[in-house]
Amino acid sequence: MRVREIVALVIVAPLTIFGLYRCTYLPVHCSIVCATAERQLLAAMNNSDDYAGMVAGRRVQDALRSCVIHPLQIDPPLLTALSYRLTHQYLRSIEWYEHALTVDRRPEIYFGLGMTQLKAGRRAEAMQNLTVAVAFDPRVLDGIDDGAVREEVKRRVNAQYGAGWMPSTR
Amino acid sequence: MAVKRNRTRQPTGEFTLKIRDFRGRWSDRIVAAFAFLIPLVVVMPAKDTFRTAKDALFRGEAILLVALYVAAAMVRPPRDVAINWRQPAVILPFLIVAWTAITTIFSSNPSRSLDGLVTVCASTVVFFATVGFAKRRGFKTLFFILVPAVINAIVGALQEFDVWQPFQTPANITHHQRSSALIGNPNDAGGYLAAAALAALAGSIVSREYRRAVVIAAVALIAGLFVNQTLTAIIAFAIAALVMAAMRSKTKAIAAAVVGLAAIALVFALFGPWQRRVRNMRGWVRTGNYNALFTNRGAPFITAALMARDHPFLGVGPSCFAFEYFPYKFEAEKRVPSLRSSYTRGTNYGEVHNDHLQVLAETGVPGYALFLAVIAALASMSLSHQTAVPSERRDFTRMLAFPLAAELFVLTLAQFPLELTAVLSELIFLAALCTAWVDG
Repeated sequence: MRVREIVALVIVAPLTIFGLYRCTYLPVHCSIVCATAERQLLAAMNNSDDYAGMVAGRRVQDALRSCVIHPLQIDPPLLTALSYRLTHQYLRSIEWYEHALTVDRRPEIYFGLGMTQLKAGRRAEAMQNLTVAVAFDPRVLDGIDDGAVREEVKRRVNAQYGAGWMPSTR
Repeated sequence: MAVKRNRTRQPTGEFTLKIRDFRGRWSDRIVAAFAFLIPLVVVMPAKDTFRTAKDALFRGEAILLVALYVAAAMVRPPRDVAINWRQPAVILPFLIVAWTAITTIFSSNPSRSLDGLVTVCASTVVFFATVGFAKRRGFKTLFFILVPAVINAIVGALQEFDVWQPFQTPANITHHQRSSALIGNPNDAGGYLAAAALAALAGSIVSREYRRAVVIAAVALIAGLFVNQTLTAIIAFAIAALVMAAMRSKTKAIAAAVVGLAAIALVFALFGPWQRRVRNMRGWVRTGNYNALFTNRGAPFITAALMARDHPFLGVGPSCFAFEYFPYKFEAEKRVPSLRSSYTRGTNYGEVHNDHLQVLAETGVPGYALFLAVIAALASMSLSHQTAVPSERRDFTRMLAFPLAAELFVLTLAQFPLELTAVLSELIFLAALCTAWVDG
């Protein structure tokens, strides 16, 4: 019987430890990392110092490297995309926003993608994504700083979804 | 993983019993520990303070149980495996796993659905382990559910009355929304407390040995439920309690209904938040704002119905309602323009807030039929079995099963307990108790 016990231990124990690491420890660890990353990125965005934003972005990218593991966790790809925006790596940011859209479809993802595409000079795609974001949640229209873009998005929403789609105060 | 070994040569039967005994003891410890811990564990620094930790623990429990059973089978392979497939409690979990696997393959987002499949498999493992645990143990196993529930009721009440706020919340969160207990959200806590309160009520009627303790728990949980103010949970509990009363005596049930209505009227008249709620509901009915009457859940309800219309057989896939909500919401708002004026218009709903519709939308008509079959199987445990040995455990099952099924049916009309680990693990535990004790 001793041989069977040793074989069972040798096979089952590592698999159990791996399973617990992947399914129990890592999601909790990554949730903590995401909370810290979000605070750092929001602080950097509120700060006008571009250099501080780049430092925060790099730190978050390093911290989140091991956290894109769970198919339902939207925070790691979203925060990674935002961190690349802060470090002015717009193409990488766009890649991560598009990856986030394979996990979940949310207005904030379309909005972030559209704003990043604007910065990257991909205006046509940007207008499409911003239109979708505003059509879902008209409140995000206020997040578009550029007045011309804002008016264009409003016009597109009305054209695509009808005149009564946007709230009347807008 | 030490197995006590006698140095002398063991007869095969005795060694097999030792392995089974070892496996049973450790399985029971795991089930008991996690049943107690899951409703209590929070991780303060995490992005999601409540749900992530509970999901992680639930899966950890399933992993440990599978490891234990696989290791025991490797050390001593079972000679014969006799499974009574005629028992609903045996065949239904396997059918659910099978159908979830099929709908995962044809899902609109298979990687998301794989996560749902893992949860269903974990639930099945935990259910069977808990049945074994309950069969080996006595009535006091109920306290593994009641004690953490009472703790949650107390924490929720302390938060509601502003005595203690252990969690930091954003400034725009209302006072009531901060009464999350250790579950995460007042509505979630309400559903959790409702199931525990019903179990405590059944236990207080049935138990002679632990009556005082269970009655105290029942009072604390029912009070906590009313302080929690989640209407759906209170209604579900009230209906289930009436069903329980009617099972003992129809006259008593009617009397209980009258007393209950009087008590509710008194609470509504005296308790400020309830008065405001009644005023708001009258206003919404007058203005025809039915979306507000359903607490602005018209959009998820309609989108789920549209998903079920487009995918009636296989659904959109487990855990895919949230993924499909975005495109379907546009169609819903085109069909029902009044949804555009909802104050939750920009909310990207992750759950339908109605598990009937969610199961239908995600797994199609067969999946929904399985869901109803589970409720029916649970309810049927209250019927007397000819082979049943009269006992406290048998009486508990008879008293709880049908009312719990009724409570689950009503609760899932406006909440999503199947998607919340704290409530799901509690329901699995109670269903397993009923299954194990159905014959005494």
